[in-house]
Amino acid sequence: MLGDAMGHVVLPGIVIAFVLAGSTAAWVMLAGAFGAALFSAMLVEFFRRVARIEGSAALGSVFTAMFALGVLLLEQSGVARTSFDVHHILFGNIETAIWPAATGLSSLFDPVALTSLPPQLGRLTFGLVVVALAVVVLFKELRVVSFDPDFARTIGISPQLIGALVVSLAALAAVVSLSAVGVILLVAMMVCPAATARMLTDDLKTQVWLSLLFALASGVFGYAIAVLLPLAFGYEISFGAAGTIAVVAGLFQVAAMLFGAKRGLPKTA
Amino acid sequence: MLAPSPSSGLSPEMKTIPPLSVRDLTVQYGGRTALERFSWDAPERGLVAIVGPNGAGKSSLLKTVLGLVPKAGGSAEIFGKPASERRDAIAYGPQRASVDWDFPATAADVVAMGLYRKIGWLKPVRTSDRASARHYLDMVRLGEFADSQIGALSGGQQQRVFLARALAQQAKVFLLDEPFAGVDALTEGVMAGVFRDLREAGALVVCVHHDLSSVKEIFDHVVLLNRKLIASGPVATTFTPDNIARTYGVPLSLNSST
Repeated sequence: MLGDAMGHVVLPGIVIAFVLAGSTAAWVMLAGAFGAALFSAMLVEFFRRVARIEGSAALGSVFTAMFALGVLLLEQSGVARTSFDVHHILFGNIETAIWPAATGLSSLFDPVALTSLPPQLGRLTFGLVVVALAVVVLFKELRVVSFDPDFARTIGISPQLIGALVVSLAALAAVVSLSAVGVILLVAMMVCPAATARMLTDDLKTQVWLSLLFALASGVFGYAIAVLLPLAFGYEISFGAAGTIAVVAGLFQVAAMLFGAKRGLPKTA
Repeated sequence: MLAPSPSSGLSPEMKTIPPLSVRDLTVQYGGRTALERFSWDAPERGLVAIVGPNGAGKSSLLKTVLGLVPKAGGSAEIFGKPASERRDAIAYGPQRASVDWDFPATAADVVAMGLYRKIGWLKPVRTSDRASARHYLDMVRLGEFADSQIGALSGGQQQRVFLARALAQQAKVFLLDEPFAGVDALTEGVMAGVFRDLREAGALVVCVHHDLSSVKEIFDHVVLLNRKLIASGPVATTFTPDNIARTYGVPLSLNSST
């Protein structure tokens, strides 16, 4: 739910940042998206506390409203007809993450070829390192706040502080992933692997590792299917990789629900 | 052998101050008054039941003392200071139904949470902490369930996991919200035994309690509450049919309530 929300709320931020700065540079997009994510998180907290609206309802109304605002801004500001590619924002453009200088595995050790690595790679790696570090360092704090926020407060671990941090990390993950899968399919990548893992384990650490594994597998198989499947049937085109990645992530989840060891459908029924 | 090494966070001056002192506490909750000018000094040690009808403000009282719910007026102090400055002296057991027991964690994982303050921010839970968690699970006779998923435990066992977590905090003041709700006879016996040990060790245990029929056998003191303080004192002299009737607004037979 949080991943879904973050994917949607960053759209107006990106558009506003583009209009204000007149540039599609990565840091401009990042700043806009991040600002929108934090603003939305505050709005959700405001609804929950002042208006006493239940959490997921507040989240749902804020993120759809923000997304609608983003679409509206996109059309009204005229940026939709400029260099600003709406399609890429919505569906991602993983196909541009190519490494033209690569000629084989040896290119990994070729300093000249390495300078032309796709820019998305740097951003995604940065996001991965920051999020992974936070999860490792704050593992027990995240655990107690998720399980029993009231108790966490009585031992001096503020659920508000940890919550704000999680929102920031989700926003960061959403922003760096945008160029890979886009706003719409972002949710598939943020939710499906974790939900799949939950079907297979009751241990929080295993859960985290399995999520990573399924995310990676969805990416690799999804991309391979997008490129290879049409070729196998003699077509010269290829599917949009974002779509096939999301479908594979979804298929993993369905399989886990059907055959999951821990949860899923009852074995005897 | 039981938790509160009486020294835990206790400076000499704390020994002369009541462990829990509430003055004119007023709490607004969802637009209505949950607690009105409630004043009470807890005994220095012992087992206290907070009793009253649904919506009487029992949970609100605990949560306000802990700083989880804002107060509209008055004060609540643990050894003379707000709970936020006495965290090491307090252990809190929320209502069992307040958490999601489907959360991926073992009994030992949850009990280890009682050690988080001692472990410190950002530091991992170590093997010695896990051994310590098992020790507290042994005290509530759940040692063999240390590696069980919390969702697979019975309601009574889950209550004992919460009690073990509170024990792990090595506190002087225990604030427990309905620890006996929905428990089996075995759990009730185990928990009553742990409570007696805590009393011997000098701790103050304050429980929101629903089962009027077991007040006399488990607790020493009682607070009768219905948004305002009705009566408080030793169970023997305070827990009278007359006071109970004033609390619940209707005459109530002691034995008919479960």
